[in-house]
Amino acid sequence: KLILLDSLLQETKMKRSTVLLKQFSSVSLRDGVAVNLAHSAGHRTARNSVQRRLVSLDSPSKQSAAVHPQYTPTASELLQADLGNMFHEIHQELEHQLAESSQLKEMAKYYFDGKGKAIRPVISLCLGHAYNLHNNRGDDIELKKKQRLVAIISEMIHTASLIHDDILDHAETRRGKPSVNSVWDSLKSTFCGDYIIATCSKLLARTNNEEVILLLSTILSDLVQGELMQLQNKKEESERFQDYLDKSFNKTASLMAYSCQANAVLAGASKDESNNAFLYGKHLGIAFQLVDDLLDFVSSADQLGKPAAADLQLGLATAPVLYAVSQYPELNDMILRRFSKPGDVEKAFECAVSSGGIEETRKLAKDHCDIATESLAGLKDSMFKLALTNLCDSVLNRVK
Amino acid sequence: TKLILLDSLLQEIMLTKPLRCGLGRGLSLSRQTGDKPFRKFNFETSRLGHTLPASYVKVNKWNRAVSEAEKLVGYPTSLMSLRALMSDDLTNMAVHFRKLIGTDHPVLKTVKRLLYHGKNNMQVRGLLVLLLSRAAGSNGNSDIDTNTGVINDQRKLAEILEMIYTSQCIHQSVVNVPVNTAAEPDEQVRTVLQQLEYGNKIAILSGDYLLANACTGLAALRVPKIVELIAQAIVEFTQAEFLGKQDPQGKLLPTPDTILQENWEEKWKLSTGGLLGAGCECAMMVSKQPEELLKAAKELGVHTALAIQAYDEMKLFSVDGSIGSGAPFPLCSAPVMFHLQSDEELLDYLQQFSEDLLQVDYRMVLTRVCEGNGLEKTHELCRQHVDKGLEYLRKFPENDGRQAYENLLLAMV
Repeated sequence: KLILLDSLLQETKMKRSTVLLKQFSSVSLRDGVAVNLAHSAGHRTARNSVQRRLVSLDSPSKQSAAVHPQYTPTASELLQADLGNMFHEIHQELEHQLAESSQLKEMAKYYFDGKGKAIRPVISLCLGHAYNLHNNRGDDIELKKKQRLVAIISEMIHTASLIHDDILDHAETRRGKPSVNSVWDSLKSTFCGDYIIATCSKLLARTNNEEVILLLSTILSDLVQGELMQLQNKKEESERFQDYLDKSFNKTASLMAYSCQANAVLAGASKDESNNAFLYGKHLGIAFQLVDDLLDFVSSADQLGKPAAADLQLGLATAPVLYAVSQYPELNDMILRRFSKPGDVEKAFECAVSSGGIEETRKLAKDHCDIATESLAGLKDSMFKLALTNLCDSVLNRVK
Repeated sequence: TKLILLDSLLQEIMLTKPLRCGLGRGLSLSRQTGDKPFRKFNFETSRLGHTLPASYVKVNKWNRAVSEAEKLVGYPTSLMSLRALMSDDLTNMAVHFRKLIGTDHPVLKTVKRLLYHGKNNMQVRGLLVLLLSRAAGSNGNSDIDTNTGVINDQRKLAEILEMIYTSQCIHQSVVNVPVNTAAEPDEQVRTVLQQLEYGNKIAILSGDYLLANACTGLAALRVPKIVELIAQAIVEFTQAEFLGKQDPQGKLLPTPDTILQENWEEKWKLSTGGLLGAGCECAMMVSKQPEELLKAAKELGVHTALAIQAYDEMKLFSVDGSIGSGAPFPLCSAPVMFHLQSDEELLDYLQQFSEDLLQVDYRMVLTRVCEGNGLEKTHELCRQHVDKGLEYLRKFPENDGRQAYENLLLAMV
């Protein structure tokens, strides 16, 4: 394959691409690699041809597991050039006005170590690009700069919220290393989180777009709302699942939804179009959270980088447990007392696993992914649009 | 019903664990939605025997200036009026605050101070912005409340400012507990630690809630520059939390290279000056004032905040009876700092407590500070900033708004 790809590059440079590309269509290449290479070769015709070819390939989900089970998401590769420098820039932004000796410097950068999934900026930027192409603004550099800023801001907001979350959950580790509040302390970590959010607001103001500022500010309220909702349990069993989904929106999907919508707005999308962007982010985000919740039951601690059954230990009833209630009504009381009695956590774990709650959760996640994909149906085809669809698969199939 | 619940909670908070602050009896909160000012009560005069004469008179002067100001621009935007805006969530939070009653978590004390003492504790940022707005005039903007002369967006800005300041105070009351409290072997200690942890949770969440609301409020003003300026102020005050030498609980310890006036000014400029300065500047932006008034507003805000800080610190040593009983007080406050400039022995004494400032003999420190010229110099510091503030204030048109602001400044010296 590499040899084939090499010669493709050579051919594109010599502008004899069309013939070779026809040969390629039968090779089931992971879209992004081929397209990226063609893209970087800078030959527009080649890129367009490859795109057309790829869109007509078999449905991605069949390919993904069979061809490249360990493959990183296509969208990431597509955006490697754009986002590769992201952490370095975030570091600069966070430290440029701090004194040499400030402890805040170290603390603020601590979680921006490149070890996280960094999937959020990829999602919103990829969507931005898709909308740019849809509106024929693919070459607008100023526009792309702003969208990139939005993507970076979304990652920063996410990380800042992690800092406060870790204090609230008295976490001792995150992403395989000691949590920021255990290395330093709660008080300083609180203000560190505030510092990052304030820096985000400054960056946000730089987009100079009132609607974008409004959209991204809403994320902050939603995040807090989600945490507040977590403090209380709805007593009504029937309301519980909806409450859980609302919480998931606030805590996870809101960020993705609004950053996607913001990038669509920047690209000049109409009200309906930007709403579709919102829906994509929202449903992808909910699917993401659902998978997160089921991984808590399925994965072992070293794969996740944080302890497993963490949600139960925190007294939180997530989808697998909520699904299990119909089969094991004793879970109701446990949920109400937030698994505080000794043995509750273990029992709830077993119930969730044996009741098929996990499979149900996975199915629900798939449903949300389908809705997400449908939201993009109206967009012009592009490698970015395809990447967004494939992103749904990688969300469903991830193991950490 | 929600407001009634909130009211009863507040009453509960106020009545249990009364402040050791020599404040009077007969407290009763208005049960209405905060359109009436609090009933006035009498401060006890200082019980310290340390002489700062006329402190009682000064407090009344301040109270009077504030009341006059309120009459001009409406009820101050303290937290009490915010409850009308945030009923649902605030009442949910109130339930959690209730669980903290009887614990020693500092956030309760903070909330008491903010809710109850409001203007008496210098919570006047919003009021100052409103006064300045009235003074500068609406410059043709028609979205104005004719009674107060304040543009509606200016009022919103004032409320946002209060929210941010409140959030800052609440976050400052987070306590450093070990991360893994469950590992503590002693059951009693463990219970206390877990209570403190819970208090931290409430403190962090309510602070975040206020900050988030402030951000959406700012965004709704639809002026990106305002978002930028206020965000910069927040950047500054979060930075300020990391300045200076601190003990494990985050309390500041004065060191030989941090006891100069400029150190104090640098810290407080970042910690409170930036916010009031930005608030004033942004209020002027709303009414589209010329560049020089924007600059003047900003400087006015900064100097006012510094004057207020100096005044507040002075008051700690005079009216607040709790200090006399040996309770801890901030060792980097201006009176102490000025005193330490000429009392090397005391400065050395303090250095040995860098692991736990609660062990300091505060009674001794207090005596020595009051014997020296620390308080006098702080008074001077306050006057300096009041004067600078007045300089900038006088660039604004002469009217009752400006006069009311002036009165507030003058009430501090």
